Amino acid sequence: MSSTPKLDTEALATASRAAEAPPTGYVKTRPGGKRRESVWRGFFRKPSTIIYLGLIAVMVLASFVGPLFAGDPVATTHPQFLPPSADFLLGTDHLGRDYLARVLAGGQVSLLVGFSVAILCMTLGLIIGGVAGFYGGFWDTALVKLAEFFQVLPGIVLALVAAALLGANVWIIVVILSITMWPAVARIVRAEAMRIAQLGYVESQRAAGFKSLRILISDVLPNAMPPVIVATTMTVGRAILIESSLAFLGIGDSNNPSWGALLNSAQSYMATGWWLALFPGLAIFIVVLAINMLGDSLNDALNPSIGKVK
Amino acid sequence: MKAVLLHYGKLLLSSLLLFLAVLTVLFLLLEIAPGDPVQSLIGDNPVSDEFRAQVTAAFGLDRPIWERYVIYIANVFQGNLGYSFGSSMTVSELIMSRIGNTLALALPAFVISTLGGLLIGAIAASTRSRWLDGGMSGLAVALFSIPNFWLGLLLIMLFSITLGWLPVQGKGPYGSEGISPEYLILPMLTMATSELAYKARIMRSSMIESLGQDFVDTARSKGLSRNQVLWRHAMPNALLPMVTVSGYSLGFALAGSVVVERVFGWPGMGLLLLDAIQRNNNQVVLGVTIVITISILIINILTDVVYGLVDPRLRARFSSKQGSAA
Amino acid sequence: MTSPAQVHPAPLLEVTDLAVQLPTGRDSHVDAVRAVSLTVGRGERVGIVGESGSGKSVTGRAIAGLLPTNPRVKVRGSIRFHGEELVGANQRAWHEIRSRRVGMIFQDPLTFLNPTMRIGRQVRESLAAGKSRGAHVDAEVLRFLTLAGLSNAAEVAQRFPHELSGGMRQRVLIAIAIAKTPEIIIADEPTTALDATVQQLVLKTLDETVADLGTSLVLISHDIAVVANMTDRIYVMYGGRIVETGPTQEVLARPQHPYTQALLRSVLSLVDEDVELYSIPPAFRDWLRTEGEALATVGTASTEHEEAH
Repeated sequence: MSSTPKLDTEALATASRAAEAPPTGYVKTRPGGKRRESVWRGFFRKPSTIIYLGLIAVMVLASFVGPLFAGDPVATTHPQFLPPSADFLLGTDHLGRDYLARVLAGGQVSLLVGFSVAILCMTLGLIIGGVAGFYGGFWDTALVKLAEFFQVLPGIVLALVAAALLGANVWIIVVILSITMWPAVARIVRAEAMRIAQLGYVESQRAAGFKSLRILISDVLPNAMPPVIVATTMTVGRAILIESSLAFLGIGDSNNPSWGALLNSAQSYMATGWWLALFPGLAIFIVVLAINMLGDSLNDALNPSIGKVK
Repeated sequence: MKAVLLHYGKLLLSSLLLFLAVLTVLFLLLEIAPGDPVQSLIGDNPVSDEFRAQVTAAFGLDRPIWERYVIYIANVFQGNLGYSFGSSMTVSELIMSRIGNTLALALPAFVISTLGGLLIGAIAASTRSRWLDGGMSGLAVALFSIPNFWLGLLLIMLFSITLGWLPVQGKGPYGSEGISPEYLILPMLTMATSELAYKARIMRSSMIESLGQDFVDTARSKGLSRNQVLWRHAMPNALLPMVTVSGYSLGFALAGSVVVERVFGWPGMGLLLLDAIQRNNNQVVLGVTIVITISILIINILTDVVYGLVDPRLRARFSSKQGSAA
Repeated sequence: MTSPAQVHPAPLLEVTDLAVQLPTGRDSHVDAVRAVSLTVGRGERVGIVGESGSGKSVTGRAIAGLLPTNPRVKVRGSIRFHGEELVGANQRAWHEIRSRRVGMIFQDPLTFLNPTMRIGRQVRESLAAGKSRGAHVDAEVLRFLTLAGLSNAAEVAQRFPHELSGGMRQRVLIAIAIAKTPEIIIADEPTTALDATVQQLVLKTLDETVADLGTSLVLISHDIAVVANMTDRIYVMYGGRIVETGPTQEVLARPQHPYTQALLRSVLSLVDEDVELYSIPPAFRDWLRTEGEALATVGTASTEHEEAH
């Protein structure tokens, strides 16, 4: 290479004097930030999101507020096996009870269990997955083994056994389901925590003297949230399905039967009353479908890809 | 070779420890369960005081908890899962007589759901038509959201009760041994459906990810047609994670067979479990749970083996060749 | 316009005012390439130098027909191969380009090779003689692997990508590119993913292979050193445009465009203590991007002028 090339310093100097503020387009140093807020707003404006959220809201309202307006779900005063009609929108069951009232009330347990389990799983998952992924080493190995143990436990079977031995309390069911379902969420948290922990700014925070725990709580976990939110949403759906399976098998409070329990009774009367088996299951299907589609939609919004590019 | 032994040694040890942990949990559950321990062993059957004393001695019920724990573990590892007083068979015998029925459901369901799931997922991921993709994905989500026992009931109502094409319950006509094919159809379909939906969803995202990989560019640069790129390059790579997914799904299905068997009155392990729970026959309850746990652990190990064989990057585990230098 | 055919044979590849727009999000896109014009003659070696984001890779892919198939990708301008216009041409024409005329060597051999397929098969797919099997086909595969600098070709053909070293994998990519006996080879950052020592070896291999086969070469890199010794002519890109072009030694010795000058300074500052690093102020960056057209092709030597059309 020959001598140092001459620079056209004049043009460059003028330009550099003119340069004041940093150019636009830079993202905030903290990953997420501005970009993320607009993603959320865009998401909530989408028509499909509104539909799914609306459906879920309707089902929740119907389950908790509806029974106040519907008839008495326990009174056996009506004629038995009436098909759906104007008087009895969902007909009556084998004991002459208003089925609409029963189906409405049936959602309470299922929805309660579903959301409770999801919240518990998210909490457990964040704590255990966060510690495992962020601190690594011994904690990671130990906690991963713990998660493996809980994943090997056959969920439904264990719930059956435990409920049979300890009683069929709603909260026992919530605890048991959470115990079997938290590893899935923790896995995601751990992966995210490990990824974020390697990012430069975490190193710099450590160097600046921030305590690890504080970094974990205030920086790592919040940035891990998007996939965790998706996973938690899907957990609600799965929990509702498992709870209704358990109820179908007979585990549940007979005074406040959930949708699954209604289906359990309905099985004996499939030939006489098709509506008895149809509606509770339809309710489960609609709720879980709306939740799952919401979760998928969330996933698309929070983990954007430019579509199937190739 | 050493690497192989080390890997599988660790895996087996790990599984063994997990198994012990599960056994311990079950033991503790039994301990804290309310009620008379002798009665819970015997179930609903009425017995004499003599017999009571015998049982107490035989199962060491009057010994301290540590001894009982050891006896329990030792029994399990010897294959002694106890005795079912209600049916006068050992629990092992009882389970063996029923496990075949459950497998007769689970295995065909596994095959169908895997093939179907892979196909639907691959088509959804590779099609350019947004309608086709949307349709297949929508189908997958819908099947994924449906409670499988409700699906079973609906199928019965449609095909058995209304149309009369297929039987309602059981595995064969009353009194017959063995499984009649037309009885198998609905329960197997029910079982396959949710598994299929799960696999289809995962296959789709696996395929999309595979299609986004760099080596697809290389394949395109060779002038290969779109189909050739899809099926020869993207698909094999997308199938790798599906091995693990399928294994996991099978384990889950095995545990969930309870529900399907209840819907169709299918006399398998699941129904055995339910009956035993109702009759307080705790030996059977524990026995079935243990067998299911062992099955899940075995499936996990097998999945690991298959994955190791299928992924060329791991196949080195089995060969002594190593990569050469530049 | 004087017919260039009287002065030189028609260039193999002529790109005029190429512009490529790529989608970057649901509603956004970026003008990766704004107005690029370049030519490549038969047997010529041309280098494209620029920083990340300058659009050089996208230009290479556009020529090779390997842009994403997303319908939101927009291409304007002209790409002529042997005089035949390719922008807007049908799939047949592009298929011809991809399978026979243009061979592409990619950057990271680990991710650009199919991990589940043996090397031999991956090379075989590239052969022009149909995608058939047979002894003669296997022999061809081995021939190209050897040509690409792999001495134990038979053994390598049986291996999987992860069993080879980085340098060997890159040579496999070279083999794949030459197996179709192309007229042009486009090498996109062929050594960036390799260790420094291996880089030299692979470049040497590339040099020899291209010389043996007599193909044209478009060498794309951010590393001037890579391009300096292997190319006859060079194009400097910034912000999706060509800012300078000319014979390689000329441009490197007497850069005319401020960007090229700054680029060279940054390289020199590594070896020469007296040379200070200069970084481009942000505002100038934007200006270069939007107004840079006025500064494009500030070529020096008259040779460049002759090749213009």
